[in-house]
Amino acid sequence: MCDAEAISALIDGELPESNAADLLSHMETCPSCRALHDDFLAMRDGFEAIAIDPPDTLAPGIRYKVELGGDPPRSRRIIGSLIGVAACLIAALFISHFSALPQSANNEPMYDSAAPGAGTDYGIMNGTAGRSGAQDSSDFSAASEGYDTPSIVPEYRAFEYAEDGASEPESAPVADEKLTLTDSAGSVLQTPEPSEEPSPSEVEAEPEPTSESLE
Amino acid sequence: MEDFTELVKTHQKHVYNICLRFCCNPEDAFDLSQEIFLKAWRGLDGFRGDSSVFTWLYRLTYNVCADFARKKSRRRETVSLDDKDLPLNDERYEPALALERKELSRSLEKALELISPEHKHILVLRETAGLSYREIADILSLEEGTVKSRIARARLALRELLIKDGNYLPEQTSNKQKPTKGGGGRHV
Repeated sequence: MCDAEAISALIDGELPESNAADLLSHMETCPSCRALHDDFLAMRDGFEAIAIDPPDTLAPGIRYKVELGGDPPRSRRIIGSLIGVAACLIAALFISHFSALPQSANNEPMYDSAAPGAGTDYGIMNGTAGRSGAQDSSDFSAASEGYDTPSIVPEYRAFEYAEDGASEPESAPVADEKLTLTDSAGSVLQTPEPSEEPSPSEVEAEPEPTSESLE
Repeated sequence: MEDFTELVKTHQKHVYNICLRFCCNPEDAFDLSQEIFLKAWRGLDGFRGDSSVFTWLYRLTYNVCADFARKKSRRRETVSLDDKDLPLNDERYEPALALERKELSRSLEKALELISPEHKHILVLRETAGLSYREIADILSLEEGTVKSRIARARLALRELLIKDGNYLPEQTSNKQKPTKGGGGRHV
């Protein structure tokens, strides 16, 4: 009976020298062992025949992926994280800056309906620079009933309308820090909603003296 | 990087053909080969040197291919023995092969798919990459004696199928070659 294991090891060069010699001499006189040996060699030839060269793109593709996909060194990861954080901070500052700019529902200046002085209407630009966008300019409109006539303590100059009702200001207001309204006691006044604010045309002007009233 | 480039250049054919035997189509073999070398690249730093780089690479190759074969069998994908799935019928790969050689090679590939995975894997490692019994034992975590007997049984099983097929091995093989001690060297 043929020793297939020995013949297999023989063709693989894994049989000890002395055993190999014995087997070779045996096969010279044993056709079945020789046939088995030949078949094993034929199958090895077959494996060589079906082996193919890999596509030309394999090695370059591996190199490309290695160069692209290798883990970056630790320092680069840290720098990347810092850049990301900085970008977020800059975006947050940008958003908060633009949200703090003056906001008006109909893009019209706010008026104080109880402004003192006959014939004089004040149009006050709401300087809300630096303030939160959630707080609107209605906070600085005229006091409601129950308050003393407020004294406006603007930190910027309000423009005045001409006595004839012309709306062109003599000088443009300088929007600056926040405007606060205080009463005569110096307390900061709360203000009604912007919708309650009259438009300039609705502001009740003091009636002009007529010739009849003067007589 | 240069060492790695040399590693790829030296072993890509063996790795690719091992993958081809495991997955039976060139596209998967290509993807698996890339995956293997990428893993080798990432794992080079952790290579402890307790085996040769050669053995380490083929252990990695075997593990990736065996995982692929397991997943493939779970998906119950049938291996198509149609010509279009075999590289030999793709003119890009073997344009000059004679029809007879093609027929013989096709018979061998068909028979490889019919033997057990255990036999197929060990034969592929031995015949495709030329790994020694010691190296195969390291890769498969087997005793060297087990490797020797398993390879012999795998060859017998394959031979039986090829004889039945009739194309590859005639029932009575003539004494074409004088028996020699043979060589266990690597296929380079």
